[in-house]
Order: sequence, then structure tokens, then C-alpha cells
Amino acid sequence: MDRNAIILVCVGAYMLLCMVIGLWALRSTKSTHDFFMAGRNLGVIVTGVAMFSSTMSGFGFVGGPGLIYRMGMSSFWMIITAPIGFCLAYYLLAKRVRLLGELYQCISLPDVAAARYGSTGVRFLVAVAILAGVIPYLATQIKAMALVLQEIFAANGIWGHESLLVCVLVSSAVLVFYCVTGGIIASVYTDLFQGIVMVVVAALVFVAALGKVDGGLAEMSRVIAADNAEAASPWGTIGMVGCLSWFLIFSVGLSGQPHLVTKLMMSRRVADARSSLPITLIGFSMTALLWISIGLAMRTLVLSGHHDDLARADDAAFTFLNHYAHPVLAGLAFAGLFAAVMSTADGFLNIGAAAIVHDIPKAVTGRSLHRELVWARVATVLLAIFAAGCAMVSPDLVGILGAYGWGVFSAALAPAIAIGLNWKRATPTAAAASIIVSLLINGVAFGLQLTDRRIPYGVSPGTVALLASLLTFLGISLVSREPRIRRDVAAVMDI
Amino acid sequence: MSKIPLVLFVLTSLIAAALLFCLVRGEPPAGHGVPHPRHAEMNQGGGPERHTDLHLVGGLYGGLQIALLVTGLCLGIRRDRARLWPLVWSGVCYLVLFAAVVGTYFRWGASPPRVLAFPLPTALMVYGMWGLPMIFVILYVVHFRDWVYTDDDARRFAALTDRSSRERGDRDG
Repeated sequence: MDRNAIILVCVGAYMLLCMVIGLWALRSTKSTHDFFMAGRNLGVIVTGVAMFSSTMSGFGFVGGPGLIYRMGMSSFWMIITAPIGFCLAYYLLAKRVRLLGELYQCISLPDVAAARYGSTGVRFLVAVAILAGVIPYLATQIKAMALVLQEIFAANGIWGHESLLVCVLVSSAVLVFYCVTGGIIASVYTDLFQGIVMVVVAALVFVAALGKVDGGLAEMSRVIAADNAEAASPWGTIGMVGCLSWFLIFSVGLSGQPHLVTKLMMSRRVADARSSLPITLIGFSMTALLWISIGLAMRTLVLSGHHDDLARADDAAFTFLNHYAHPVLAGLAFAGLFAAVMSTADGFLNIGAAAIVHDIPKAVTGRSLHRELVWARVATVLLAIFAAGCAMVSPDLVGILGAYGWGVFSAALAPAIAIGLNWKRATPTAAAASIIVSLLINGVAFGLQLTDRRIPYGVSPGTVALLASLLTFLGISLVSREPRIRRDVAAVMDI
Repeated sequence: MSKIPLVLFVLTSLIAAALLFCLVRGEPPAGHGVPHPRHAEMNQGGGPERHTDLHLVGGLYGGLQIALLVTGLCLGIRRDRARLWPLVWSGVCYLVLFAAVVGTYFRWGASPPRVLAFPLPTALMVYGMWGLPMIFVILYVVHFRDWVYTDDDARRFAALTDRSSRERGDRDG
């Protein structure tokens, strides 16, 4: 069997297994509580793995090596934020969202926000912020899957490069199948499987990448520094201010990612957070090895003349796997790449569907939809179709859309949720204002980026939005009178 | 009232001011990289001189972020002095490490000594700043039953859910 056929078989087997998990989870999904919250019954390992596999998206497995290829050491600042970022999320949120979720039988993050602030307005805005981030982020993931699938199909002579629509349909269909049948139960158990695949693949690829450059990491670093010392410096080519802006948005912003925070609500016991934090962190760090090793290896190989220039920086991962990895490892790695994308996308589909069928109707009409489970499945399909459509009509916007999605979540939700659940003085007005400010700034920045206008020093617009949102939230709360909080909520916040 | 949110507000304001200062004073040539002369999809970073005026404000921008993050962690645990000190001291170590990254970068410029495969400031960033926050993980794991969720908390929450479900039952008839 030739190399391309092995890759196709590995990816096909992976997708088949995801669908089998979806069918298995179908039997356990009998209510919206099961569909969105997995019956609040996830064990330590499942929660810990689902947390890191949902964080390490296609951006990390495809875009990450590309960033190192393009910018040298700069994107390390996105990786080294993970330990402190996950700590912040666990310290601030693991206990609070789990307790409030159980007490008020919440099935989504807007439910938790509504319980905390006693405000339908905050529920509505949190749901809108989730949708505003989910659609572009989901479009990015679907586009990433389709591009990879397109390469695999083309290499096997199945379809030509013009078949992007077919690839979008195939990859979305698998994703939608297991998300519709098994809801979040299928999502988290595929996350578990996907996380294990990602860790194994990343470790093997790391070893393979070090072996492809004589002298390993030391030689890679030497070659990169010989070409340009700044590229091997701690700031890489983007420089100090740009790197530190990433440090802020990726560390603080992690607490605002709704697909992660929602998973913290699903654990079986509050005390499980104690064990799932190290699992999350070790898993993320292991998978980041792929990001680092492929990026450094490809930059070194091209600089030293051992490989031709890449047509696009984002081709770094495909090129390395196609040219330098053993066929079986390449097959596993492509499956791992799909795992990285799907494990993030399924979380987005789930929280997006919850916002559409549960949170927005509840905020507007005061009650949930009749036959919510059926509508949840319909909304999952429609959301995927809409996001796939966005992916098709915005061929050059994948990176911008992804960064916009992370920025929206970070700025809109980190202050109101992460700080608001730990500070009784935080007011609903402050929460609403901070979400509106963050959406406005991110929206304006998105528009400016479309016209190719950028903030100096390569500062991410999300960083500006996050700072403005934090100042709005903290400032308004500090100058306001202490709000009245429901007795039960106050009791939970005292725990 | 807890002073932590006020500290968070002050730190956020200072971070915003530092960023604003950088943006207003203008970006030097190659401030965030230039295209590589031979490889189309690669960038180069110019020389260390692009950071010359950023010693202090750049260091402050990063240092304040670390202070913000550690203060944020303090918001999530039971707040009394004995419990906060381990977090504060770990935060100080994190700050010192960041200062070492900045200091060694500006001290040696383009030709720093190499340690564990990387130039010294890069090695401090990769191994130190990636690894050091594991202290906060260890503190969370070790002190979870004291700092985050005690047995007494579990009892109080169980009583709260009992009362809440009874009240719901009464309301539903």
C-alpha cells in the first residue's frame, strides 16, 4: 500500500470510529440535559482530556507550525501561556460553574450567567457573544478540515483540487453526524479518543522531527539564529510588544472560552477538578510538541537549503508529514490533525446549538422551546451548514476569523464570567456593558483587518478588546452600589 | 470588601497605559518583523535595536500581566493571608524569571550564551516560563481541600441543594 493510501485509510478509520462513538452515545442521550451537559457525569480523565483536546484546535496543529515557520520563536508565547491560563480557568471557574450549574440545573454558560446576575439581559448578551464567536471559529475549523481532506483526496487521485465543496460536505457530515446523534456525550468521548490520538501523534512527530536535523534542537536553533538572531530570540520576529500581547489574550482569554468552561460544568464531582487540571496541562503540553517541532524543523530545513521554499507557511505541517514522516506516522498524524479540529468544532456546535434553542428563546420569551431536544439536533445541523457556508464564501479569511473568534470569547466572557462568579460586587450592568464593549471593539477591528489595516507592533485586536472589557467591567462594578444577589447564589459564592 | 478586584482594576489600567504608550510613541522599523529577503513566507526580525526604547515599558507591560494573572488566581481561593502567601511568592518567582528573560535579552543582544539548545533568554522563556507555572498546579492539587473546596464546603453545598430542591418541590405542588 502506498503512502497516500495509508493516510487515506487512517483518516477514514478515524472518521468511522467517531461515527461509531456517536451511535453509541445516542443510547445515552435522552434529554436536553444529556445532550448539552452529559448528565453532569463525566469522570476525571474524560474531563481533563476533553479540556486540552478542545483547546488545541486545527489552529494549533496546522497554524502553529506555520507560525513558527513564519515568525521563529514568537508563537511560543501562545504555548507557554497554557499552564497559567489553565490554572486561572480552574482556580476561578471549576468550582463555581460546577456548583451553580448543579444548584440551578444549568445546561449552558448563559444559564449560569443568568443565575449569577439574575438578569435575562446578561443571559441574552452571553448567548449572542457565544454565537458571534462560534460561527467564525466553526467556519475556521471546517475550512481547515476541508483543506486537509482536499490534499488527501487529491494525492489519492479521488478528486481534484477544485473539490473544496465536496471536502467541506464530507468533513462536516462526519462532525454533524456524531454531534447530532450523541450530543455532548458523543462530543466528549470523541474528545477523549481524539486527545489520546493527538498526544501519541505529537510525541512521535516530535521524535521524528528532531531526527530529521542532525544535532536536533540545538542545531535548529543555531541555523535559525545564524540567519536572523532575532528569530531565535525569545520574541521571535514579531517582537516584544506583539508577543506579550499574545501572552495576555491567550492566558486571561482561556477563562472566557465557553466550550472549555462548559466542560467544567459537566464533571461528576466538584473535587474532580483537582485531578483533571494536571491531566489537561500535561496533555496540552505534549500536543504542543508537534507545533514546536514541525515549525522549527521546517524553518531549519528551508534555511539550510535541504528543502524548497514553502508556498504557504501553513503548509509546514503537511509538507513535513508528507516528506519526512514514516507513512504510518503520517497517516496517524493526519488522523490526529482531524482529531484536533473536530474536538474543538464539536464543542462549538454544542454551545452554539444551546444558544439558539435554549438561551436566546429563554431570554426573549422567558421559557425554553417545546421539544427542545429535537430542536437542539435541528439547530446543530443548521449551524454546521451556516458555518460551512461561511467557510466556503470566505476563502482568504480563515486566520482572521479564527483570531476574531478567540478574541470575542476572551473579551466578552472572561470578565463577566471568570471574575463575576468570584466577586459579589460585580453588577449585571457591568457584565452587560463589558460584553457590548468587547463585541463592538472586536467588530470594528475585524472590519479594519478586512481593509488590511493593523494595529502597530502586531498587537492582536483581541488584546485591546480584552483590556477595554476588563476596565469596563471592573470600573462600573467598583463605582456602583453593591447589587442584591439571590440568597442561594450568594451562598454558593461564599463556598 | 475584597481588595483584589481593585488591584485587578489598577493592574489592568497600568497594562493598558503601557500598551497605549508603546502604540502612541510609534513603531520603529521592523517593529514586528519584515519579509525575509530570500524566503517568501518567512519573516525576519531586524536587530535587537528595534527594542532599544522598550526596556522599561516592555518589561512593565509583561511584568504587570504576570501580576494580573497571579492576582486573578488569588481571587479564586479562600482569601486569608496565610493562604495567599504561597501564591504571592510563586508569583514573585514568575516575575523574577520574566525579568531574567528581558534582562538577558537586553544584556547580550544578538550573541547570547547558549543553554540547553537555545540562546540563554530563549531558554529561560521556553523551559522557565513554560515550566514555572506548574507551581500553581501543584499548589492547587496539594491545597485543594483547604483552599478551594473543603469538607465543610461540601456539607454546606449539600444542605443548599437539599433546601433548594425542597423549595422547588413545594413550588411545583
